[in-house]
Amino acid sequence: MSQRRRRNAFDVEKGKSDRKISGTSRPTSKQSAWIQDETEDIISLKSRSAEGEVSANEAESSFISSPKRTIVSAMGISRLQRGAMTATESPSIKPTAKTTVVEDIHSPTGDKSSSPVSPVSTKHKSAGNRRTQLVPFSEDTLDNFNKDELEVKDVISIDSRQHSLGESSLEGSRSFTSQTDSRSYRDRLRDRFQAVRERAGTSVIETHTRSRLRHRLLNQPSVSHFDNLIQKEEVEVGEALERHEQAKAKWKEVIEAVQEGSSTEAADDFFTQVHEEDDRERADQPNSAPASPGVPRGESEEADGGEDQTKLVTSDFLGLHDEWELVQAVAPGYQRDEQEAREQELYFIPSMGPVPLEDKLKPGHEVRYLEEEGLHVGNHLAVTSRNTNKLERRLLAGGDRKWFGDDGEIISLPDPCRLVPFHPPVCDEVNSILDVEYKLATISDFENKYIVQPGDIGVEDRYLLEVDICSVTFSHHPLFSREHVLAQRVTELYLKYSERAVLGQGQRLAGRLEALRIARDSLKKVLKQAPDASQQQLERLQRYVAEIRETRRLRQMEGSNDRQLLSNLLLTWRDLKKLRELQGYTSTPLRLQIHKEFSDDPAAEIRAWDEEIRKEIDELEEEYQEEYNTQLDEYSKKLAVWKKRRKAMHEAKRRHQSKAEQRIEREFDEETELEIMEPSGEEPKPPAKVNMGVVRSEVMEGLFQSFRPPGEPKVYLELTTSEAIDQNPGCPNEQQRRTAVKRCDLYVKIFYNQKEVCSSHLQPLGPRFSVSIGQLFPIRILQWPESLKVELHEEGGTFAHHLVAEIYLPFPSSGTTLQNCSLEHHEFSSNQVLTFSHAGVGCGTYLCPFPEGSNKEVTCLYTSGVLACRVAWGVDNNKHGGRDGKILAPPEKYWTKEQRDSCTDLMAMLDEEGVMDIEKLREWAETSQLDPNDPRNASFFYLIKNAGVGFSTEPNYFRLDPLQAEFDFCKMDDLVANSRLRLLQLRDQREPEFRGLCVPLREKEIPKDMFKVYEKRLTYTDSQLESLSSDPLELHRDWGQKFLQKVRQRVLKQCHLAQQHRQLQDIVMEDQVPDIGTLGLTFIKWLQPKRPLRPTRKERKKITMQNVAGQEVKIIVNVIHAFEVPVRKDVDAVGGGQQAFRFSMVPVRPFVEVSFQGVSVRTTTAEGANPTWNQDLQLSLKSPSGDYSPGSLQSIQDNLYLHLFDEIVVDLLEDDRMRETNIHQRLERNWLGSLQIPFSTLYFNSRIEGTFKLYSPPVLLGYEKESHHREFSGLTILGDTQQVLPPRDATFLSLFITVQPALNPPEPFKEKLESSELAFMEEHLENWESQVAKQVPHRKVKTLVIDISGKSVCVTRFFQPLAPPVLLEGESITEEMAARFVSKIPKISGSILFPGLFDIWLTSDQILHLLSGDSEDHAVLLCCFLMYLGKTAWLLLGVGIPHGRTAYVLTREKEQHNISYWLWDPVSGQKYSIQDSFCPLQKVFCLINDENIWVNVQQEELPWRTRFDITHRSDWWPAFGRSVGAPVGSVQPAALVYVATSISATQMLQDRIEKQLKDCLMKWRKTARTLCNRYCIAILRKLLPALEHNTWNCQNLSSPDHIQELQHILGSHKMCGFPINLPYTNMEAITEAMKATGVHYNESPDVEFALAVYIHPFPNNVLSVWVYVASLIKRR
Amino acid sequence: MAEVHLIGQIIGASKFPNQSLFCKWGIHAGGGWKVISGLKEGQTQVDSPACDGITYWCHPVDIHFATKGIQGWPKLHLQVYHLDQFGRSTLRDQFVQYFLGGGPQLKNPDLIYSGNDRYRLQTETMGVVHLELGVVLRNFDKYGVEC
Repeated sequence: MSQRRRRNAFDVEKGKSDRKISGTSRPTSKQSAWIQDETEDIISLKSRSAEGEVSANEAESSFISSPKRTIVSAMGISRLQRGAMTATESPSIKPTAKTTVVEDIHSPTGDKSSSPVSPVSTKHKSAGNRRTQLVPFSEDTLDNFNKDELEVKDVISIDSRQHSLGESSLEGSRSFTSQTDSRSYRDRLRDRFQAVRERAGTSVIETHTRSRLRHRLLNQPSVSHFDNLIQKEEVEVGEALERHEQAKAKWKEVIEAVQEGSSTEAADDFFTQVHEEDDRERADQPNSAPASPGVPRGESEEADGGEDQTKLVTSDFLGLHDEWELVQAVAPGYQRDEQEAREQELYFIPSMGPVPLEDKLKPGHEVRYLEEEGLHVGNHLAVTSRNTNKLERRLLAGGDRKWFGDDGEIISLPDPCRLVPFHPPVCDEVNSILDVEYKLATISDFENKYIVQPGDIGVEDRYLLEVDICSVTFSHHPLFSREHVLAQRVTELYLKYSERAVLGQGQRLAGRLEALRIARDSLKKVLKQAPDASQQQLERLQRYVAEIRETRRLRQMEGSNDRQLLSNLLLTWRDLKKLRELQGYTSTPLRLQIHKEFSDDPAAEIRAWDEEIRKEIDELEEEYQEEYNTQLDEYSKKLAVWKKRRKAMHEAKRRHQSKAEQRIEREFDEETELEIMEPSGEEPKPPAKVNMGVVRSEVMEGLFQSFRPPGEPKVYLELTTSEAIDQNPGCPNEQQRRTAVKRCDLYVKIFYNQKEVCSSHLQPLGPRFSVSIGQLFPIRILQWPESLKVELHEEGGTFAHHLVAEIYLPFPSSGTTLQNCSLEHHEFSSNQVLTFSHAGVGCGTYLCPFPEGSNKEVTCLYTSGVLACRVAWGVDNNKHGGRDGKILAPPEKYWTKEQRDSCTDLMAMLDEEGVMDIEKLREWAETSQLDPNDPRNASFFYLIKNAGVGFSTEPNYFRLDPLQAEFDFCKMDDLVANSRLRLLQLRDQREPEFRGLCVPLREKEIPKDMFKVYEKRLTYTDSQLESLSSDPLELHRDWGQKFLQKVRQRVLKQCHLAQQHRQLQDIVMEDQVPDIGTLGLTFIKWLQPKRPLRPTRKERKKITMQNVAGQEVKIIVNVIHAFEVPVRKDVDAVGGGQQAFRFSMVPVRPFVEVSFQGVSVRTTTAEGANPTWNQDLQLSLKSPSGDYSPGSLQSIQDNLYLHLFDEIVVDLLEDDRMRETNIHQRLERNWLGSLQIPFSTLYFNSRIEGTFKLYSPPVLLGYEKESHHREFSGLTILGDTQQVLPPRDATFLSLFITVQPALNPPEPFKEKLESSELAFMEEHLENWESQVAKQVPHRKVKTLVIDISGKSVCVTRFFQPLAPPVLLEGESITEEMAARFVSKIPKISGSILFPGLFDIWLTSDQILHLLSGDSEDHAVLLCCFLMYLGKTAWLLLGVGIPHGRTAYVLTREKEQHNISYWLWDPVSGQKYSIQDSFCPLQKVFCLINDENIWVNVQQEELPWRTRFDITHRSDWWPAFGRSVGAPVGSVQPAALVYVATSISATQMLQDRIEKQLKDCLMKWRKTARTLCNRYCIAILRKLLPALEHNTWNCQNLSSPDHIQELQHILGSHKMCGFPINLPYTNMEAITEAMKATGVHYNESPDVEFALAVYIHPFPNNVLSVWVYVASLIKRR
Repeated sequence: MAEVHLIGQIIGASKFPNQSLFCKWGIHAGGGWKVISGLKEGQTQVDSPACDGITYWCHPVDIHFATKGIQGWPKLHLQVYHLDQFGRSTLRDQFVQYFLGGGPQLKNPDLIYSGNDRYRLQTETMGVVHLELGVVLRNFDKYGVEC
């Protein structure tokens, strides 16, 4: 419904023009407003349709109740509602349509009538809600209606208008009553409209208000107009009323006749009459029916029931046919011709033909095409030419040409529509960084190479590449003779010459110069005449002058080049001729013809020459003058400055002098003056005047260089190849060369995408070295073109076959065919080097082709030449399929990527980072002549412009988050500076200084010097050597220490990493589930007889470090017993040594003190020389960082000290009488021996058990061994065994040490290191080692060891005979001396040095250099020495006490048939027989020397039970046998270099130590005064060197003469003391050793001390320190 | 100079299609954050629960941050892997890996941390990882951050 309404609205619009034509002269603007209002109404109607729809529908159905009215229904409703006027006014509506309209209008009237006369009303019940329906239908109304049919259209038109304007508009004041007959038709019609409106809804009220406004608007300007209309209507209505009266009278007559007469005839007559009319009406009806075919029939069916009645009514109405006729009669008001005539008056209809151009242009103007002039003309909107023409004609009709541009087109703006979308398309593809990738995926680009897939037959011959190789010309070839080389040069020069001649640059420049000069002269003339020259003219003159100079310079250059070239060419040609003469034959056909041409008029030439000179001189003079002037200016300026300064200086000097007298001036002034005084500078020199003579000579020189001087003939050259070649030269070399050339053949191969596709035939090289190949190679391609290569091959000649050169050809563009492409010359060259014995010059060699000639330059000639070829795409010549002439090139856009890149210069301007080079860009913009007016280029030009102006100040960075700082709490630096955080961080990094540190919560609680140590360590490493002491001995040791520390740090770090790899056992504690085997064992254990007297130790469970945390770790030392403890010589038995009471009961009361980490515990005192304690001592272990991880445990460097003391009870009771009641005793302790076990040994071995030899001093004053005692006393208890063993010089202690709870020793460092051995060797050794591990799992062997550089080396490489140092002048060194030397090198346990069982072996020079090493290093060194001394020596790896795994040296000595083996302990320097059961070595694992490694595969591993015959394979299994020999070559140096130790430094050190020890002694004895016995000290000093020497000879240390020396003191004093010997490491070690002896514990009031130090210097700063300390108590 | 201390553990995972799982974890913090102590990333052991539905790792997380601002608050990032009998993941991967080796992985795992492009990543729900993290804050109130 609403749609329909809208359509009607358009009808209304359509009708607009018609209305105009029809003369309803309404102003257009108003009309549009009107239309607009109407549409508004429609909208409002539509809006209220919701409520009024039902009724509207009913209304509709009522309108179309009759089939006759169906046509109406489409248009009628809306017309009725609003726009009936338009329909009636429309001229296109046919009379039939009009009828329907009338009917339509009529029918509601019928509907409304509820009178019994009209039965129609009965049908529509819903109509009852209308006010007008209540109006009884009277005959009058009907009558009136029919009669006034004619007027209807006008009435309606007005009425409807009124309605849309509002009810109150024109006739709002006129009230009417529906009942009255007399009311006008207009009123009635209005009434009906009103009804329709009401029926449609209530919103009319809204429109009323609006329309009232409108009405007011409309009313004012068009009152007269409306009045006219109304008057006219009024007249018409009056007429109509009149007619109506008549008709009514007629009607009345009829009715009366019917009523009065009531005769059937009359009635019949009436009806028949009517029927006739009906028929006529019916006849008309079909005409109208097709007018509205869209009306469905169904609607009429609904109204079927009422059809008959309707008929009746219709027939009633149609009976009044007179009035119907009338309607038709009025219609001619709209005659077409009349309308057209009126239209002709009003309208101008332009024709569509093109307008001649001259009409559009302004008179006298020519056509301009802006686009051709280079101006930017945008794209114009596409308009059909018909429309354009029409518009143009229309505009021209207005007579104004301003609408047209210079090109005769209408001036219009460019097309505002963008061709490209403004928003870039948002690609929905997945971001590349979101991709997942398969790692290790392979990329095969092979498939992508194919344009067409291989199987695709249909397109096989689609792409064809044609390569036409024409010729190859060599510019140099190895077979060139010297003549050829020269000839080639001549040819090249000639080519250049002819090229220049063709260009004629010199002449051109001369012409230009001439023109410029004339222009300048004329300008000068003008300027002279008009003295007030404008600036512009002066500038022009300036420009001319500058240009003249430039041109002159250019001309001169060109001229000199020309002449140079000419002379070069002539010289070379002369050389060539000379060469030909010299060699007596010609082998090149080159001939240069020289034509000379003398000028006809030499005088004119001279004149021209002079003129030229004159001109140049003038110009030059001018130029110089100018220059001089500027220089003069500058000079005067400088001079002024200089003078000023000089003046100032003078003044300053004067003032300075005066000031020197006064000396009151301020310093500040002084300074400034000094400043002035300083730069006096030199006096500037005035510029030199222009010397005319110089100028002249300059000009002359220049001209001679560049121009042909007068008198010289002009020379024209011509190069021909007409010289005859001598076929049989006499020179054999040349003949050889020629035969070589003859043999030489050339051919080319063509490679497409690196694959050979074809090759040409062989072509002889020929004497001219120019090969014409002339072959066309069509290549059918299936792959995308990537590269096209031509290879030039030579056959014969000197070498059988070789490649001369490769030439890469570019692919042609896709439009190139052989027809349209020209021959291209590609140069090639090769870097081949060839020399010949014959006349050929070869290539790649330096030579001078003709040393006798003018050019003596030596050049390097390489094979080179030019390949002439064409490359193009094939053309399809197949006639079939109509593809004739198609170029068979693959689509270019897919493969010419790099070509495109190189084509667009813009791309080339992008540098690597993708940043545009603005300079380049500007250049490009200038050369490419972009249109600056083109808006497309606007931004580009803006960029260039701005870049030029300089946005250089613009920062080249941008802030990512400029506001970020606002949100920050603090700066990053604060975080770094915070000491607490730093501490935490360093602790986390496991820096040794901060390990296990407790970090306080507040920053201020952290001491400021917290990081001092750490920072010092960091900086120390850099400048370590400078900061060390100046003492060479200290220096050496310190350096060694530091170096080892460094290595150690490195190793520790590595181990730390290795320890990250934890094993299951480290993490998971799992009790083993008992299986049958273990269960069985436990049962067996129960069954075994219990042997409580032979207890066995059970293996304890190892505890992981996690479980250790929080527990106290204890070291448990079980001191079992000792034997061979020295016994006191009876103090009182002076002189009576042989007396009987040496068997007195208390010869010694020993006890053992154990100290660790500064804590000591002691056993109880036992008695006798072989005491038994069997006592457990406990010491707690403190880890430095508090954690008990292997890493920190193995870095503990503390030693466990065990000291054996003798406790002496000194009776202090003075008075014997008190003895019965009092005990007054003092305890003294005398040191007897000690043992030092590093914690690491304990840690790695987890327990230490055995009988240890204590370190005891060689002389123990006041004590003697019981065995000695027995010996000396002659009471030999074991007389029969005397020859078996020499008396043992030591005390032994049985111990058991362990850690509680058991700690897990660290895992050996298993990481495989880089090996310097060969792979097979490495493999072999590993194999062997694993086999050994299988056979004897507990015996560790060493095959590959790590040297200090961190690489593994075969261990045998460490053995090489090395000369030991000479210890004593003139005395050859013995084994003992060597051992002594080695033992005095300080020893550091390997596990301390390099924890984690990271075994680093040092070579001999390294150990001597570092002055420390572990037992293996010592053993290696000793072994090397012994080998040098002619011993058969091996390194023995095994287990010794107390150090666990150690290395010894085994030597074999042959005395007659007796083979004896000796063991050397390299650390102590002791020598043991293998028979010695007290040898500290307990287990023998393997032997190593330079030849082999043997592992002990015997059952026994105790040294005295082991067989040492290594040739027995069943006893000793060697690593190297027949298949693999030991690697040759040693890592040891060839010889050791020994440096003599500085005696003075030693002496100084000795004094220092002595002093220090004395100080220490006093310090330790806080409570008492420490006195020194100087006499005793002197004696002891004398004794010490002898002790050192004794050790070298392995003599009995406690030699009797030693005692004799002391006899004197011993007589007067009770003396107790001993010498300590130790290698020098540092002062602390010595003091510690002395403190451990407890000498200072003597509390006797009259005790005196004697202390002597002796240092024996060995070479290489190895020092043996002897400290003799004794306490003396004067005998009473 | 505010500090954040994260202490806790990655307890385990549940509802994963496969139960033999391990987890790679990492803590990613912005530029203003500084790790004072502790490990930023790690990997748990493989747990193959026999009876329970939950895979337990009980992997400790203990990391101490110092920060200059709130921006870039630490994010925990967990990757859960599962092992088949050959130590591989899905059947297709096994197939691909059999011939080519390797497995699909994100080219830029860092992308996970920034939410900008993460929405494009097509993912599938796999299971639940249980965490127990204690966050200890220090000095935040000094800078006006209530916590």
